[in-house]
Amino acid sequence: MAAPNHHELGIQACREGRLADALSLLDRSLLERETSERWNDWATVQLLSSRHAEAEVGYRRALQLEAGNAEAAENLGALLASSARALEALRCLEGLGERSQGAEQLRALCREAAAKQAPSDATVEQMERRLARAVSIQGGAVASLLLRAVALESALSGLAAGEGNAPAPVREDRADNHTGESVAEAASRVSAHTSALNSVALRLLAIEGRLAELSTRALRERQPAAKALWRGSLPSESSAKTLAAAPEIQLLAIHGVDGNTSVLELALLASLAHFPTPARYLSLARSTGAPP
Amino acid sequence: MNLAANCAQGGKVFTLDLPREQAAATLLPLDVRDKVYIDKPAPGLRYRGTSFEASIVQLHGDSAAFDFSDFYGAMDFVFIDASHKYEYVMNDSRIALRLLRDGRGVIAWHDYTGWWDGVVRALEELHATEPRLAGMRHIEGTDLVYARVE
Repeated sequence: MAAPNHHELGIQACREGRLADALSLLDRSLLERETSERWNDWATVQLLSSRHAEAEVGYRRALQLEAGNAEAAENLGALLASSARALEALRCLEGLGERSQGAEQLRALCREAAAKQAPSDATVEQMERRLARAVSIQGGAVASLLLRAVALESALSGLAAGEGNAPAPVREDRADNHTGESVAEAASRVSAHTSALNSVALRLLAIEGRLAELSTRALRERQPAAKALWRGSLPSESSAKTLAAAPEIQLLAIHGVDGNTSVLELALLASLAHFPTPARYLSLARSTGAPP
Repeated sequence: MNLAANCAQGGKVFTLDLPREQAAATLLPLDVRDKVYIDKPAPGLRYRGTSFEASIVQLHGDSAAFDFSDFYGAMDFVFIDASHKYEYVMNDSRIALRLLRDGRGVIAWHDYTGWWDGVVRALEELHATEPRLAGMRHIEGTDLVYARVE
């Protein structure tokens, strides 16, 4: 007797509206063999189950396995656009070219949304001035940090806006490729001294710390209504408390941080490493430890 | 590498990674989502060739099958950022407790977030049932949890 085709059975279950069964079957099919198509289908079932974060990971994996999977790119673009991440959606849809009408429509929608989302001129210029003063060399690293700083500052203004401080209006002509231009301009102005990366890192830490505080506060205030926001039951403490308990820390390879570990988390880990004045450490990693 | 940069002078960092070719044959089940993180190129790309290379020891294997006997009672700090499956988090955490020197030190975990329900379930269960981990703290606004074990 032929082995059951879990992928096809999963799709069938999805069509019949049995999403939990579909997910379980698609899980099994992925464990048997990973393909871009299977990840795309898995992600779609996650999306249909309102698990957007899982769906995003699935679509990204599908694209990692097959960059030309237009369906996955379009799905991811749509997901990001629907999550008010229009700039990211645009980047995701850029590679599709003329192959997909759906992608072109999405791109148009994203451009419109991006114009509304981009950080204000005042915020970005202020950020560039600060960073250009502090930052030096290592173009790639600097560019990454600048990108991250601009994105964080933008998120911070968004959160602050929710508290009643409306962001300044945005000029549409700068919106589409705004971040890229800002980085190029700022990077071209920087001069050649080392260790300034640490200054930028500290700036990022301050922004991330502030973001974490605002997020936590928002979480507490809106918990009953915000289904998507999760909060565990373990006792908690503020990041400021953990950081304050350690002496000066050293952060390295910040530009290589992937989307999974934030600069703040790296700093906290470095702080925790000082607690026992240890000499021997063990890290159990889920991956081979290399950057994605 | 950041751990190496922040550990005591002369300190050593041991890092255990699951080679991608072993991902299909782990002793305990993996979460299907773990595969995304396992399928990476060679380990150590960040620290190779840096001044920290000498203080980092790369280990390879499945933490459920690895022979830790040389390391028990020898670690001061253990960081767990491995499989997100409940069974693995429980396994890795119990091993971590045995690894601490004189049973004292710090254990930290990553990925305490609703996205990884296996990690959440395991850590909350350990907090409730393992007296040595009663001091577990989630650091607000992050996915980090740590416990000072004394």
